[in-house]
Formats: sequence, structure tokens, C-alpha cells
Amino acid sequence: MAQEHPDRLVAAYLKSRGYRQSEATFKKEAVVTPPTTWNGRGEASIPDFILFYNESEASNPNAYQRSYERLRKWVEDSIDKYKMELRKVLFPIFVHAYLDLVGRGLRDQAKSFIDSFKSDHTEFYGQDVQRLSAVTEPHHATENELAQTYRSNRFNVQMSRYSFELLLSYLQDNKFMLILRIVNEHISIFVENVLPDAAEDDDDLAAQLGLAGQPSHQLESFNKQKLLLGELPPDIPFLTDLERTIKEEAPSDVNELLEELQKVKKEPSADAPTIAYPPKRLLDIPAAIEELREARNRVQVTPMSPISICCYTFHNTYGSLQSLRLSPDASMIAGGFADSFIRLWDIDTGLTKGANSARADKSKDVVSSSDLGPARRLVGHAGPVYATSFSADQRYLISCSEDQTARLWSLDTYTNLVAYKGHNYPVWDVDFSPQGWYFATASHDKTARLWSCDHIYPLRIFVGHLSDVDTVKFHPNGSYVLTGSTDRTSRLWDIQRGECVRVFKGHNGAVQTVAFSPDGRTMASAGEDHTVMLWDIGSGKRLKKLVGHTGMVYGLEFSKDGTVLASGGADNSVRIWDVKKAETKEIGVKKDHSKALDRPSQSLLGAYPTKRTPIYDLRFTRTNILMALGAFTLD
Amino acid sequence: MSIFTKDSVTAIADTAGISLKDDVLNAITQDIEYRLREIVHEAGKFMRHSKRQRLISEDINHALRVRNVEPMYGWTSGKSAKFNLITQGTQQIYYVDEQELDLDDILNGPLPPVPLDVTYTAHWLAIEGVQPAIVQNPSAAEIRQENFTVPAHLTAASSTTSTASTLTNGHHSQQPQQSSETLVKTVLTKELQMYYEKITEALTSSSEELRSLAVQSITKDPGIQPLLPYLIQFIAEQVTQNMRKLHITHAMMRLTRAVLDNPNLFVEPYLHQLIPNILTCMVAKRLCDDPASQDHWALRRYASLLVSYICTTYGATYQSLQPRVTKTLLRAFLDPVKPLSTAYGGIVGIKALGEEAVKVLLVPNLIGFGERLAAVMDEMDEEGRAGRKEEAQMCKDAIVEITTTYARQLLAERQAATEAAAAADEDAMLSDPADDVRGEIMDKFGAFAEDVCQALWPSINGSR
Repeated sequence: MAQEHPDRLVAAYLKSRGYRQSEATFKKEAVVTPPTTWNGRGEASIPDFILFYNESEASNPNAYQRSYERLRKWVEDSIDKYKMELRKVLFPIFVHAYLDLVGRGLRDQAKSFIDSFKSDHTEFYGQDVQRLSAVTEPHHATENELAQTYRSNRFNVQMSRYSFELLLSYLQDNKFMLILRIVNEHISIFVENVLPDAAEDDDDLAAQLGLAGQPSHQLESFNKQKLLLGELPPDIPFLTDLERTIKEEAPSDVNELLEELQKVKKEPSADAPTIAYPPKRLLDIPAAIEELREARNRVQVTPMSPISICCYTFHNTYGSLQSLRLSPDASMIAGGFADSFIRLWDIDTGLTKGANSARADKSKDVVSSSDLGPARRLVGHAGPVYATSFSADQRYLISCSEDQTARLWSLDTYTNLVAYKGHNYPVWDVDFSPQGWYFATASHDKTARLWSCDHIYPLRIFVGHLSDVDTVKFHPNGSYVLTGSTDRTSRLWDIQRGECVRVFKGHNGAVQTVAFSPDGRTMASAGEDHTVMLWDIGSGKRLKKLVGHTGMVYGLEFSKDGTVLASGGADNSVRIWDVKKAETKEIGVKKDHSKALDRPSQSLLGAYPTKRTPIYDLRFTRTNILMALGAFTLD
Repeated sequence: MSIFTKDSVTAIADTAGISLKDDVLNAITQDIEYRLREIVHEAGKFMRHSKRQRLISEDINHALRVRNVEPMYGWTSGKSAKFNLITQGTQQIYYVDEQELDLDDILNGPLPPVPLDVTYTAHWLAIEGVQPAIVQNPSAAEIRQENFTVPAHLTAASSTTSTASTLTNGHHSQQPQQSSETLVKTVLTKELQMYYEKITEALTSSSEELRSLAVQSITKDPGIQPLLPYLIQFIAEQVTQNMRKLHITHAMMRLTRAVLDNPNLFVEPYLHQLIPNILTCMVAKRLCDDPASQDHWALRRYASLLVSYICTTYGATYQSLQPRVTKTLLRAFLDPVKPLSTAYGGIVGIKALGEEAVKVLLVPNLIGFGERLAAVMDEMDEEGRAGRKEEAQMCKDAIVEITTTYARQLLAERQAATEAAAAADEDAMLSDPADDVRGEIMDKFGAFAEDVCQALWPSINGSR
């Protein structure tokens, strides 16, 4: 064995690397040459080293547990400087060691393995560990979606060169070939030529590693792709028409309107995208004037001048209300019900029209149920309606449902115009483009799709998420789409090319909701892990993690001037965050940030609890009053 | 090994008439657990998107449909099934205790009530950063109960907890590491702090001129919104601490008026803190050291005007406001245990709330109150206590004045009505409205009737 075995291995190695000539030469010479190229550095040299050893270790079912236990102890005993980095590789090794055991049908060993070590990983990966622990049979492992995700994607880990060398030499010295093979097969380690950052935050840990589904790219360089985040170039013919109409009609506030119009009518920014939209028509002019007027009356919402929140509470829903959405001009609310219909309420009771401050309409503060506008029912879906979205001109409503369709409704006739069939699984979310015409859907089938109202098939299919796409949102300039997924990432997609251009990683749970700032340069995401995260889209970097919610976050929205972020969710509260402060704060508090994890973030400006009303949706009106929508729940 | 025992699988297999071998059972229990976990995981997604916190049977059915499995029918009753345990020998069996229903009963019985339609209400969750204390919002106690933690750096800014002392200590004396946490909202500029000190000093001074100037300044100044919570706190403190110092309580009422009058101040969120102070100044037992020589009646009248101002301005917004105030006033007026000075406060307060309040609250209670006054007057004769006599007299004068106005109004109305009726039907025999009204006065006004009549018809009464 001593002679033949290395020969065979070397031959196998040369073959697997495709070194045909060398292989031929090697075979011809058949000289006993143990691999001498091993230098202990870099991934490329690992395979031959592994092959150098036979699989005698693998035949021992307890080898995984023993090796992992020793590796874990070694990592925990190493000095703090490297501990943080070395810990990162423990989870992927843990997962794959378990799956290996399961794959070989060693049920008992697998169970004892996962039981002894799962507590290490429940903080960041609780759900995944729980799901994997159900996988106990070889055929489960091959059909389980999550197991396959781990098997078919490399797990990204970033570490400094020295830590990497430490790890490798430890594994080699102790001949942990099983683990070494896992490292080689399933983990991509990006070696950085920097000193390990001892003070690295625990929560950053999650941000750097994990499954990106982007095995070929390094995430950082991937996130450097060029983006055109500027506003759409102004529609000059329409604005000219608008100006003429204002001058002709000459309402009492003509000067103010023209002044406001000048602000809109600026030069296109350097990074403005070009995207085709049907031209606006004269029909849109009255709405545009109203929009200008409301923009004029906008209240400043800054940390200095605090916010006013109007809460719409829905009663007698018995848990059947699935979604709520306020129309852009805050005149209508659409509610999606579990009983497959949509209800529209006309709330235009003067609450927001022309109100420039909370003071102006104090008499309208309570709308009793008797003077409500008519509630209309839109019937057509065949499953719970999970989301609705109004078009910019409020003449259409789009809805999506468990019945795998999205439907377009006319708000002039209150009828269903089109049913868009394309997804093969429930559609979780839908969003109209801010300019109208296009809309995007997010589905259980792991894709998001782009549609235009006049086509019954999708124009783009955005594929890349590793799990359900839970939410979708259009960029303010209408040329990008942001999705949030159960795979804990958010992705930005270019709708021209249909490709993913940014990946935002960092959440410890599904991303349930996302939001763009009005200038389109910042985004926020939130979800199952009760935290809100602010991201800079240009660099793909996280600006701030906002801690404070005690339940899932359902709604996120930036104020119209982008200085304040509002969030609301299952913990029956609305919270207001300072966007700007967050950006300057991060550097100063970084050191004690890990200790402050349980404490609410300092950029929290206000927390407003409701009476057992989870907040489903949040919208700022054009005058910057925050509308919170939710259904009163008894349990 | 699995959460399912082999026994339960055997039991289920038995119902289908199949007997299973041990290794098959093993495999099946394993597989069942795996499938179930997958389904529950899937169902969790549906629960999340339905924005619920509790998994229901519909979620499971949706999850089954997604997995291309036939859903379980008949479990979507809305109530969660309750499993009962039965022990048979060593076997433990769980079953659902389902009631047997008689279809005839259901068909012949009355229809169940239609469930309430979905409606909505709107309310202010926050007004300019402050959560108003209205019914729709949770009370402080409820917030605590729900373990809702408002971060420490925010409570410093809230109006209820901030006191004048934190203000005067100011932002500057705080420790440096805390300063980063202090919000902009709590930082008062040096100028504002100085202003506040000057104003409070002037208001509590004994110089009338200074007090007037301070009040004037508060009425006009556009830039003192940040001071508002502190001013209101100041009013509350001063009123409770200086109940017997008439000039201070009076100054506080004028300050309240100034705060309400200033068009640049946004007082709404603080109304609930203001009103108790005003009511105190109206119905307190004693408001001065020496009731005989000091005019605490004027303060009560002034405060009553403030209450009426608040009720007319904000009554529409806060519908519970006026009822609450009226309740307090009525109690002050009617409670025989309370001194007459309190009753006086109640009377002027009711008057200030307007005609309707007088008609509904005051007039029906006149007879009883008249008797009480008379009793006090008699008692006074015996014991010779001048103070109580004066109190009774003040109450009487106030009531007479109010009821006279009321009666005059009534008279004018009746006359107008009679004239209109006369114009419509010339032949009709109509009684003199004056007689009607006088009859009514005699009926209802009790002890005060005579005085009112005298005030209304001095000539007629004189001729009698």
C-alpha cells in the first residue's frame, strides 16, 4: 500500500486537474514521487494533500464528531484576536459534517452530532439549524431545499492570512482530513492581507459570511458595479404644459406653484437612467398641480421638528386582513383579505387635503364609522390577497395573491382588467413603478418578475435568491427593483439588463420589507430579526443597524425629505429613526456597539405604541404626515 | 427517536387494517417528522405574510397546496382543535373531543348573527412628536404592562417626566459621556434657559408690573415652544404649592391664559395637564389666607373663563373634554359636604360653559341648592359666622345673576314665538308669555325666584 497508493492518488489528482500530458508522463514513468509541492498555503494545494491520505478516517463514524469537537475547542481556546475569525468557519463545517453523516445514513451519529453542537449556532442560524435537524435520512438530504442550498453553494468566509494559515496548519497537524475536505469543497475563504480586527462586532460576523449564491464573485467587487441612481430626467414637454395650465388658470397660489415647479424642473443629473415610459397626458395635469401644492405645504420632518402620526385602526377583521396600502395622495386605502377579495375605502375626508400641520385639521381627528366613505369590494382572486399597490395616477390598483396571479383593477370602473399569470407559487408582494406602467412581483418560487401592464407575460425574471422573495420595491427613478428574501439578503436588480447588481447581506432573519429614500441613494430593510438596517446603495455597505423593535417589522418608509425613517410592526408600535445621525454615529460608538446590542439604537427619535394594533403599512403623505395602518387584534 | 412514537403510527396503521414491521415503523416515524417539519416551516411563511403571530389551520392548508398535497378539509373552523388524552393500558391516545351536532337543530334554529363589518377609525398616534393622552392610545400603565420600553434618552424629553430642576441644571452640567445620548430636543439654548428663569422669577415676584410684563411676553413670544412643557410643569407645581397665595395662583392662571393665547404655541398635547390646575383654582376649598379680605372670588371667575375658553376651542377635537370638566363642576356645585366656596366655583364654571350647561345642569338643581343656602343663612344667624354668610351671599348673587340672564333669554324667546304665532293666526287667543315665564320661574327657581322676578320686572313687582 505504501508504494502503490500514492502513485494512484497522484495519477488521480493529475487527471482531475486535467494535466493530461503530465498524467501521461507520470503514468509512463510510474516513479514513486509523493507530492512535494505542498507548501501549506492557498486552496489549490489542499486537494492533493487530502488525496494523500486515504479515507480511513471516514470509515470511522465518530470521526466527525471527534474532529469537530477538537476543532471547536481549539477555536475557543485561541486568543481573542483570531477567535472571531476562526469562529466563522465553524458553522459551515458543522452543517456539512452533519449532512455528510446524514448522507451516509448514520442516523444516530448525526443526531448526537447536531444535538451536541447546535447550541453554538442558534443565535445566528437558529432557523437553519432547526430545519436541518429534521433532515435525518439520506433521501431527505437530497430533496431538502435548504440542504441542497448549502450543498450547491459555497459558504463565503473572509479572514486574514495569518488566521487562515493557523487554521490550515492545525487541521493538517491533527490530520482532520474530513474537515479539511469540507473546507475545500464547500467553503470559499477569501484571504485578506490585513491584521485580524480583534474588535470586530458580532453582528458584522453575520454580514460577512453566509451563502451569497454568488460563488463566482467576491461580494465586495460584485457590489462595485456601476449604478445610475439619479432621478429620471424631467419630462420637459409635460412640465411646459403644466406651467402653461397653471398660468392660464391662475389659481390664488399661482406664484407658489410656479416656484415649486422650478424646483422640479432641474437639469438631469449626471447619473440619470434612461427608461421608456409612455408620455404623460393632459389628463394628468390636475393631479400634478395638486401634487405641487402639497409639496409646497410639506411639513419639515427632522429630528428638530418632530413628526405627527395619524393611525388608521381597522376593527372586526378577525385576522382576515392580510395587507393594507394607502394610495399616494392618501385618499384611499386598499385592504387585501384572506377571503380573496380586496376592499377599498375612500378616506378623503379632508384629513390630509391642504392640511399643512396637525393643527389645521384638529376637528377631523376622529372619523366615526358613520361618516365613512363607501367601501368597495373587488372580487376576483382565489386566495388570500397578500399585497396591493396603487399606480401613481391612482387610476389602477395591482394586487397579488396566493392563487399565483397578480391582478390589475381599474379604479374608475372597479373591475378586474387583467390577470397576470406567470408565477407558479403564491405571489407575496407587488409594487407599481413610481412612474406607473411597470410593476414587479415577488413570489414563493424564489423569483421576482417585472411586468408591464400591457403584457400578460413577464418582461424580466429576476433569478438569484436562494429562498422565497418576500418583498419587492421599485427604485424612485423606476429603473431598479429591490427585493428582500427569506435567504436573509436583499438584492438590487437592474430592470434593463434583468441582472442582480447589488447584494445586501447582514440580517439574521427573512427580510420582510424594504424601502428607498426619496433621493434613491439609501435603502432600508427590516424583517424577522426585529432590526432595521440602513444601507448605502452606491457602495453596498451597511450604514447603520437600528435595534429597538421587539417584533417583526412589517412597514418601513422614509419621510419625503429623507431625513427620518419610520418603521412599524408586530410589536404594536411605530418607531421613528434619525437617518442622518446614524451615518455619523457608527464610527464613534463602534467599540461598545456589541455591548449595546440589546439597547435601542441611539438614533431612535420616538417610539409610539398602539393599543394592540400591529402596524401593517406606513406611508408619509406628500405633506409629510405619517399614516400608520393596522388591524386591531385580540390575541 | 422521532417526535412520533411507533405506537401512534401502529395505531394509525391499525385503523387502515395494516400491520407494519418494526424497521418499517422506524423509517416511517422518521419520515413523518421530516415531512411535518417541512410543512410547518412552509406554513410559517404563510403566517408571516398574513401578518399574524399565530399559526392557523389555513396556513397549514396553504403549505400543503404549495407542496402539491391535498389540503385537509374540515379543520378551518377558526377554533383550534383541542386534543384530549386517554390512557388505555399502557397506550396513550390523544383524540379530538368533537360534539355531536343535530343537523335539524341547526337548520331549524335561528340564523347566527351577522358578524360586524370591517370598519376603521383614525386617531393621532403622535402630534409633533408627542403622543396625546386620548382613549385610542394606550395609557401609561398599559404601556408599562406590555413591557414597552421607551429608551432612556427619550423619556428625558417627554413632558411628563421633565421637571424644572432638570432644566435648570441644564445640558451643560451633564456628564460628557451622556451628552452624546441626549437628544437635540432636550437641549434648551442658554437664552431659553435664561428666559425661563427670568419669567418664573417675575411671575412669582410680588410686583404687579413685573407679572404683567411676563404674561405679556409669553402671550406674544414666537420662539418659546421648547419651553412649553417646562412652563406647564411650572404652573402645576406653583398651583399645588401655593394654594393659599392668591397672587401666585392668579399669576399662574394668567400664565395659562397667555400660553393658550399665544398663536405660536402648540398646546394641544398638554391640555390634560393644564386643566386640573385650572379646575383647582376654581373649586378649591380655600384659595387665600384670609377669605374675608382677599378677593378669591375673582380668581374663581377668571379660571372659569379659562375653562370655557379651552372647552370651546378644543372641545370639538377632544370630545371627552367637556363632559369631564362638567362632571367635576357639577359635583362641586351639588355636593353638600363641600364648602360653599367650592360650590361657587362650580356655579361660575357652569355659567362659563354656556347657556346649555346652565339649562341642563344648574336650573334643575336650583330648588335643592336654595334650601341648602337658606339653611346656611339660618345657621349663621345663630352662630354669627360672617365668613359663611358672605359665601352664601356670593353664591346667591351669582345664581341670581345667572338665572336672570337665563330667564331673560327665555322670555325673549317666548315673546318672539308668541309674536310669530300671533302674526300667523290673528284671531288666536294667546296668553301673555311673561306670565308663562314667571310661572316657570316660580316653579323651578325655588328660593331664587323672587330675586329673579324682581330683577326682570322691577316695575311689575313694585306695583304688587
